[in-house]
This record gives sequence, structure tokens and C-alpha cells, in this order.
Amino acid sequence: VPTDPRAPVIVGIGRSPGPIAPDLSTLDHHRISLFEALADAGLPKASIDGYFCGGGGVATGFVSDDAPAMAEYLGIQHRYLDGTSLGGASYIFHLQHASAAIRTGMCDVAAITYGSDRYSVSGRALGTGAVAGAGAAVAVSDILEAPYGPTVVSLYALIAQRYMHEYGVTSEMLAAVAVTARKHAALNPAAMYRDPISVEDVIGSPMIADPLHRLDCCVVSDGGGAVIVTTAERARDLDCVPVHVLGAAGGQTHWSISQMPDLTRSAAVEAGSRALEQAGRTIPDIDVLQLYDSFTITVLRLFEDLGFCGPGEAGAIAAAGELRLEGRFPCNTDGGGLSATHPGRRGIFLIMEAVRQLRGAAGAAQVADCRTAMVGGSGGIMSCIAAAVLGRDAA
Amino acid sequence: MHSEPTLAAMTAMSWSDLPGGERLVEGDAIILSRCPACELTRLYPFGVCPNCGSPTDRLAARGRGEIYSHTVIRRSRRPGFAELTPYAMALVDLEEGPRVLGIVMGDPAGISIGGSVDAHVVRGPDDRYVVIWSMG
Repeated sequence: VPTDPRAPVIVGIGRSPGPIAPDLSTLDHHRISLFEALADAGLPKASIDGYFCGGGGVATGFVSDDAPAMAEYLGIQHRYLDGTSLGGASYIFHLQHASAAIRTGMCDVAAITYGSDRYSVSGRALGTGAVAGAGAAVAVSDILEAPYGPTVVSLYALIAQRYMHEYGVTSEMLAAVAVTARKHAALNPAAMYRDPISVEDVIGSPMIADPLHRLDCCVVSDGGGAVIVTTAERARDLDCVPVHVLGAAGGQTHWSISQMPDLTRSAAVEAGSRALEQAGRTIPDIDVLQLYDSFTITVLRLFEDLGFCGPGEAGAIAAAGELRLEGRFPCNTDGGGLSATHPGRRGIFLIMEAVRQLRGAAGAAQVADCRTAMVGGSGGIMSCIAAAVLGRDAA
Repeated sequence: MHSEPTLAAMTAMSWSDLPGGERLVEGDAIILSRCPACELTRLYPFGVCPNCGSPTDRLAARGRGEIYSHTVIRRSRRPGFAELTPYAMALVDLEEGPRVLGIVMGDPAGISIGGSVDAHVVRGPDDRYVVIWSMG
């Protein structure tokens, strides 16, 4: 089957210095990541005609990092602009939107950028402060939920508590996700924490919001990332290992936690099956997973809802070590948000690590014969979920 | 629970802040909005039903619910709530259908999924109010 000349292909990834970069602003993280990605692709900045930016960094410079302000700052002359901002999943939604724009000829070279100096501005305690608001608009969460002082950790804790109640999943099973992430982080020189931890360490760490302990929670770092997507036709002229966007889809169940119909079922069910269907792939085809890990519970819920196991089974699979590099479902091979990098929103790093694996450029963390990857991102409180299937093979 | 900083924090961002001055509480009763045609029921007023376009009714809830999930907030950097830690926060399913978030008073160790809870209207300065819960 000949490849569609306009099929979307990732040709560049770039990242800014991290996990702690006190001298860099949010804007610096966007800019450095973009130029790294362009150099990786071998494309000039002027070739960018589609720009995707969800903001979410810390506004410490003279402009915020929302899409039009960043297009101005970076000097991008776009003919397609997307400011979709759906929390940490934004960048996988961007990949879906960029793929559609490229396929339909609305742009030829799409750049997705993210940057945040969260750690240097806010310190470690992101998950115990106020939940990032919905902005000026009045949302259910602003009036009906904010009066109770919910923290990000506590809202994910509600999901964890219900999930454990329904399926008998244990704190030890959740802890296994953090232990696995730390094992992988040991292989990543840019990871924030690299010393090994045990299940006992996780369970013995201070409880932040029951049942989530400190080590069930992601790190808070600085950092930035960028991804360049273009057409298969154009990719052929570039000196890079092309990574094909075979499928990308999203879904939503709620925005405020009280409106989530079922705490143990997210829109990853629909996003995952749609992405796989587009890709013409099934679960056994997936060689590596990069799943959003704001908290250990997030990984178990996404793994399950994306279709890698039946209801309630993810905990036992994690506890059996199957998410490790040598397991059946190698997951978060860079150490994830739990140990490596999480500047507030992690989605773009999921894409970049999947690309690194598919290029065979993951070094000590390389999954053997890695041809197909799945990326799953969660935005809000498992509210907006996006999934993508990426591959070495064009179809 | 009713310490000044906590009460101030809770009512600073309060159920009394609905646009248009709509009230969610009358006396000690929670007022729900309900579509008489398709039975969609929500805590917050939604005027015309987004499902079927019918005008909605208002319905006084009995103020009883069941714990759907819960947590104990042990670490908070938020003024007014940091002083309250550890405290229990829960998702409560009202008898009438809607699910709401709330604080549950009392010893967090006594709270479990499926447990019954009763609503209490807590009033702060300037007739600002929120609803919190006690184990039934």
C-alpha cells in the first residue's frame, strides 16, 4: 500500500535543560525546545506554518505563554493556529489536531511547544495548593467544589479510593508503579530522582491525601519540549528516522470532579480504541507505553481504560513488574513524571519519549525491536484524555 | 470546623456566588434544578435543559446522601484549609441523584464508601453559605 504523501510524520523533538533550570523562564523553555526540535528535524523556523501551544507555563516573563502571545514572541508566521488547553493532555490533543491539519493541507510543518519554570517559581508543593482554575469563566468546580479546599492530590485520591474499593487494588500495587518509574529514571541522566526506592519506601512516605502518599505523586520540575510534525512526503527529504502518527484521538467525561459519571472509567476507553482503530493496530502490537503519571493511580487507570487489561487488573500487573523495561508492557521508560520530569503538564514528554524509543535512540532504556508505541495523556482530573499510536512503519 | 480562618476560606469561594444571584439554599434545604421532561437533575441551576430544551423546575433536596468516594486531606498549602488538616473530603450522592463534593465533619477514620451523610448549611459573613456534611 503506497503511503499517503500527506500522512503525518514526527521529524523533530527537542527539549530544554531540566529538571531544574533556575535561570530559564517559561518563554526560554519554549524557545530552546523549539530550536532543538528544528535542529533535530533539519528544518528552518521559517518553514513552520502550523503552531500548537496550550500554555500552562508560569507567566514570569513579559508575556504569558498562550498560543497567540507565543506565536508573536517566537515569530511564527502561521496559517494554522491551535491554542487548545486541556491540562497535561493538551499536547496529545495537539498531535491529533496537527495530524488532521497536515492531512487536509491546512499546514505543512506543525510545531507543538511547551515550557514551564514551575519548580523554580513554585517549588515542590504543586499538588497541595489550589487546583488550577478554569480561568475567568465560572465553572462548577469554582463555586461548588473550591469552598472545600480541594488539592490536585486530593481529587486524584478520590479516584484512587473508589478504584481500590471496587476492585480490591492495594497501596502496594499503586506503589509498584512508582518503584518501576524510579528504576527507569536510574537510566536517565536528566531525571530529577534516580536513587532506587522500594514499595515499602512509597508506603512509608508521608500520606498527602489518603490513599496517596508523597511517593505516589509526581515530581515538580522545570522543563520544556517541542515536537515537529510534517508530511510523509517532506519527511523523505529529511535526514531523520521518521515516526508515523498512525492514530490520535481524544475524549472527555467531565471537567469538574463531581460531574464525573464513574470514577473508575475515563474517556481513555474511547480515545484508546479510536486511536488503535485509526492505526489499524491492536493491543498486542504495542511495544512500549508512555502513560501520564501525575500520580500512580493515573497510570493504572489509563492502562486499564486504554484496553491493556480487564477491569481491576492493572494493579496486579504493575505489582508483577510487567510495566518494567523487561516486562510485557514497558511503560514510562524515561522515569515518567513520578521520577524524571513534570513541570506542571507532562503530555509533550510522553510523545518525545515514544519517539526516542521508536528511533532506537533510548540508550540503556531501549525496548528491543520497538516498532509501535502508545501514548496516553490525562488532562484535568482524568477529565480530557487523548491517546496516540506512533510507529516506525508507515501503515 | 467553624474556625474563623476556615469559615472565611470556605465562604470566600462559596455556593452563594452563582451568577445572577440564584440561590442554592433556602433555609436549611439544598435547592436542585430538575428537568420535568427528561429528569436531568443538577445541583447548579441550568435554566433551559441542555438535553431536551425544556424549562427546568426547582426541587428542594432532603439533604441526605451516600458517600461515593472520600479522602483525607493531610497536606494543604491553602490558607484556611491548612489549619483544618487532616480533614475528610468526599463525593456525596444525593438521594435525588446529583453528586456533590463536600467536607465531612468528625473523625475521618469513621468515614467509608456507602456511608450515609446529612447536609448542613454553614453560614459565614454577609449571608455567604456553603453546605458541609455529617455522618448519618
